[in-house]
Formats: sequence, structure tokens, C-alpha cells
Amino acid sequence: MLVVRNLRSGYGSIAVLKAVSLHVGRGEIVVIIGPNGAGKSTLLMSVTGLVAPFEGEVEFEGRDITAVPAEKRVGLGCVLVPEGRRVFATLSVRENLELGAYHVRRNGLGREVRHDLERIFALFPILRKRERQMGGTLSGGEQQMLAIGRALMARPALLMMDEPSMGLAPVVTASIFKTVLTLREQGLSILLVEQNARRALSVADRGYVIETGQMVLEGTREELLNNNDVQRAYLGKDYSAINE
Amino acid sequence: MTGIVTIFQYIISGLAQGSIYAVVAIGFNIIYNSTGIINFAQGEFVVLGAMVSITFSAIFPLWAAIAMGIAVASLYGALVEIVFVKYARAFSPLRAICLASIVFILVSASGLFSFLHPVLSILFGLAVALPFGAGGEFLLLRFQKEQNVLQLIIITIGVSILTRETMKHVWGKDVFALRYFTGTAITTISVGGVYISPQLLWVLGTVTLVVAGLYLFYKYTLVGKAMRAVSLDRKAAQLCGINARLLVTLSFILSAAIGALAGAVTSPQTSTDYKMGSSFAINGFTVAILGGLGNSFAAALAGLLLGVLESFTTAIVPSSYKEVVVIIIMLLILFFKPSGLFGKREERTLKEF
Ligand SMILES: Nc1ncnc2c1ncn2[C@@H]1O[C@H](COP(=O)(O)OP(=O)(O)OP(=O)(O)O)[C@@H](O)[C@H]1O
Ligand SMILES: [Mg+2]
Repeated sequence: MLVVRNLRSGYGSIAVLKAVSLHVGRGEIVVIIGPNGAGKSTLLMSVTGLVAPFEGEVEFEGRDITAVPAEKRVGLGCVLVPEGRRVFATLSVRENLELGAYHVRRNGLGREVRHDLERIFALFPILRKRERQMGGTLSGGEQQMLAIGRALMARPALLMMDEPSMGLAPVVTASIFKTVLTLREQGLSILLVEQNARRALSVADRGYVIETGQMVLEGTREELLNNNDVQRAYLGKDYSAINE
Repeated sequence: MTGIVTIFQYIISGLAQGSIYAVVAIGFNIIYNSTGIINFAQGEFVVLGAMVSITFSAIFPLWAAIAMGIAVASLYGALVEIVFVKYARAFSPLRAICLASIVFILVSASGLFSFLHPVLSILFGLAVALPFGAGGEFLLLRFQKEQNVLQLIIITIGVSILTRETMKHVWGKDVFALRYFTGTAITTISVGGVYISPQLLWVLGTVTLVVAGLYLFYKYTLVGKAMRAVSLDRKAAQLCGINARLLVTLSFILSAAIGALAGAVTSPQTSTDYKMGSSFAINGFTVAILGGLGNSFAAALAGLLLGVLESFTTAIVPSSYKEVVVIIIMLLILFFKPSGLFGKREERTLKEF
């Protein structure tokens, strides 16, 4: 589905990622965990094309998309729910969702958008209630659902999510993670960046640990959950608990 | 009775003048919303549209001539965006030329070398301007890491000057006017003792249509909504698959087209010459600020308001002080209500910078 090879990326003269590689298989849920400033968001933005990599390759469904402009990648099915949600604050919930389907409508599939919209409303019933409200007036959790809904309207094959649980109450976080599992059952591949490592690993098939722009660890869910460094740094266990 | 009629007469002529300010301000807003730039070449779009319409109206029916004026101005708008905004950001010689043209105009306006033969004075002007342009560009590059809005605004001022000088060579310094759409200069309709030129109805009708059309465009069309999305959060819009670059070019085209249309409908009454653009730009900018940057409906109201104010001002003080009044109004507004007469504070803070 997605293969990233030796990606070096950053902003102007600031190098953030140093030769990062990863892959996501079809139907997989892969998580990336790491401390603040490690470069997780930079990595996802580089995959979307909004940050231009210095070096390396991004391959999507067998095709090299390193040179494909960001907006075209959405049409290919590679879609990001950005960090901080970034819903269009003065556009209505419905307009936000319609814009998610921008390329679908541009490609003359406008009739199917209504159907997709119904699917999103079934997934997040609260959005139907808020349909006419401005995006900026929603609560944090509702905005996260809107951001996910907007991304789904683009009909992704790979859905990337950057810290979807940021600033949300545990109940809301739980429901977002439940959605992630539902989406995978519907056939989506998911690449998830999370601070909430325990939660993220609980839904993941595999995971990566990124620190200061480098992948320091990779493994299956069990491998990561049982890894001493991961337990200490990301799962909040102290030395004595690990050494027992 | 006559007192009231006179007042109405002032209001009417104010509305005529205010209409063009309104449309120029709307043009400012369209581009500001999608890029954050104040495009000071907006006035030249208006003049270019009018000039081309006037030229073609000699051979073609009026509507066809105006359509051509709009088409030419739209193409020019696209060209300006693609060459100067898209590439000049990356290509510093173009920016240097823009800066140099600003200095050149200042030098020639100051008449520093006017005692010399015209050709020599131009050469001396260039000799002063080019190093300034290059030097200014060097400083901009040196001290500004990021491409920023100030740089782009300087570019649009340069484009405005280059356009104006080019139009001077094509059409000369004469004053032209498009023929009246209905009747002639002396045709009037009397409404309760107030005399109205049918052209004014054309102008007001056009402004109304433009405002209503834009409202519908931004509210109901997919591209219009996408343009709003780009102005709110460009990156998020790109993440929706929206080609933000293309829509920015489109906003220049739209803004030039609307400006050209306004230039054509007002030309019969206000006449057109190559250098009118700068006063349109100043007044249009005042109006955009007056209404609250970014709000086209408010810009339309503010434009008409400023037109009427100006019209009364000329009744009281000599018309050469008109500009002073305009600037005082603008400063007062900036001082007391920085978000504009109709501006909402929240909307401003939602903007990225
Ligand atoms: N637009 C930018 N310009 C310059 N530097 C940036 C920019 N965005 C991020 N950085 C820098 O890149 C580094 C990595 O940032 P990034 O946002 O990718 O980290 P992150 O792992 O997502 O962190 P967090 O968990 O806090 O979201 C940081 O040092 C940050 O300061
Ligand atoms: Mg981040």
C-alpha cells in the first residue's frame, strides 16, 4: 500500500527526518509513536506532499508518487486527517464534508457524494445534527469526527491520522479508536500517529518508534508492548515494574 | 424643496462614483481572501478593461466590445498572477525590476532630471532606479527568510506601474470614454425632480449584479466553496484535493474581470485615461478598509458611502482637497475601528496572519 524509503525531509535548511523508512500493508493498522518534536507530523506531511522531501521515495500502491503534487495524491486515495483537525471554521459541517469530496465531484461522480455523505452520517450521527452549524462552533470531539469524515469523503485507500486523540476526553478517544477499527473492517489501511501509545498499540497490527527524526524501533504490537524501552518511555511503567 | 432635490442630486452623483470604488474594493477582497495580498494593480485592471472596450467599441457592438475588455483584462490578471506572483516569488530579477520601476516613477515624478532632454532624463532615471531595485531586492533576500506578504505587495505596486506605463504607450495620454449604453450624455430620467442619467442605472445595476453573483458563487458553487476553504486554511484545502494554486490564479482572473466590467460601465460618465488606476486603487483600498478587509458586501456599502461623502465634500471644500478628506477618513477608521465599519473581530482572528 504505502512504502517510504530513506526519506530525508524538513523545512528549508532545517533537516527533521534523517533517512526514515516504513511501510503499510493493505488492510493494516500501523502506528507511529515518538516524543514531541520527533518528526511524526513532518513524516505524514511529507507523505501527503505538503512538505517536500530532500531525498528518498514515497511509493503508493506500487507507484512512485514522490513527484506527484499534494492535491493529486488525495485523488489517488492517500488522505491525511491533519494534526489539530483544521476544519474550515466558517464553513458549515456539510460544506466541510462536501469539500472533502472535491476530487470526487470534479471527476463527475457528484451523484455518489450524497451516498457517501449518508455513510459519514451513519458513522458519526452527531454530524447530521450539526449539519448546518459552522465547523468552528463544534466541540473538539465533534471537530475530530468532522475532520475524519471530511477525509473519508475523499474515498481514501490509506487513511493517515495525526494525533486524533489530542485534547479529547477518554470516552471520545475511545469512540474514535472504535471508528478506526470499523474503518479497517471496511477495507481501509490506516497509518496512525499517536501520543497515546497504549491506546494506539491496542488497535494496531504493527508499529514504529521515531525519535529525533529516526526510526529507532519497529515491530508487531506484541513486540512493542513487551519492549522494555517502549514500556518505560511510552507506556509509563517505571524501572522496578519492568525489572520484576 | 430645491434644497432636498440638490441633496439628492449630490447623493446620486456620489453613488455613481462610489460604485467604482465598491467594485475595486471587491476586487481587492477577492485576491486578499485567497492570498493575503493587497493587489495594488487592481486599478489598472479597471483601466485596461475600459480602454480595450473603448478601442473595440469603434468596430464592434457595445456588448461585444465590453466582453473583449473583460476577456483581455482576465487574461492579463492570470498573466500577472502566474508571472509575477507565482514565479517572481522564486525569481529575484523580476522582483528587482518591480522595485526598480517604483524608484523610476518616483525619480521621474520628482522631476529631478527634467531639465535634461527627455531621453537623457529617462536614462538617468533608470541609472538611479536599477541599482535601487537590485539593492532593495538584495536586502529583501538578505533579511527575509520567508516569502512574505510585504514582498508580494511591493511586486503588485511594481506591476501597477509597469502596466500604467505600458498603457501610456499604447493609448497615449488622451482621455477616452465609452459611448453611453442608453441615449447620450444629456439623456436623463427625472424622478421627482431629481435628474438621473440612465447610465447610473446601468452602473448601479452592474454593482448589484456583481455583489449578488459573487454571493451566490461563494455560497453555492463547489469552486466558490473551495476558494473560501483556500482562504481559511490553504494546507487543509490541499489535503481535500483542492488545487490551491489554480484557485489563486482564478481569483486574479475573477478580480480582473469584475474590475474590467466596472471600468467599462463607468467609463461613459467618468471617462478613462491611462493613469486613473492609481486613484481607483487608493480609493478602493480605503473602501476595502472601511468595510473591513475580506467582506465584499460591506465593501459595496462602504464604496457607495465613500462616493456620497466625497460628493458632499466637493460641495463644501474645493475638489482638490477631496483626496485629503479620503485619507483623513481612512486614518480615523484605522484608529478607532481597525477591523472596519462592518468588520467582525472574530473573522479577523481566524485569518492566518
Ligand atoms: N513549519 C515548520 N518550519 C520549521 N520547522 C518546523 C516546522 N514544523 C515543524 N518544525 C520542526 O520540526 C521538528 C519536528 O516537528 P513535528 O511537528 O514533525 O514533530 P512531531 O513529532 O509531530 O511532534 P508533536 O508530537 O509535538 O506533534 C520540530 O523540531 C519542529 O520545531
Ligand atoms: Mg505532530
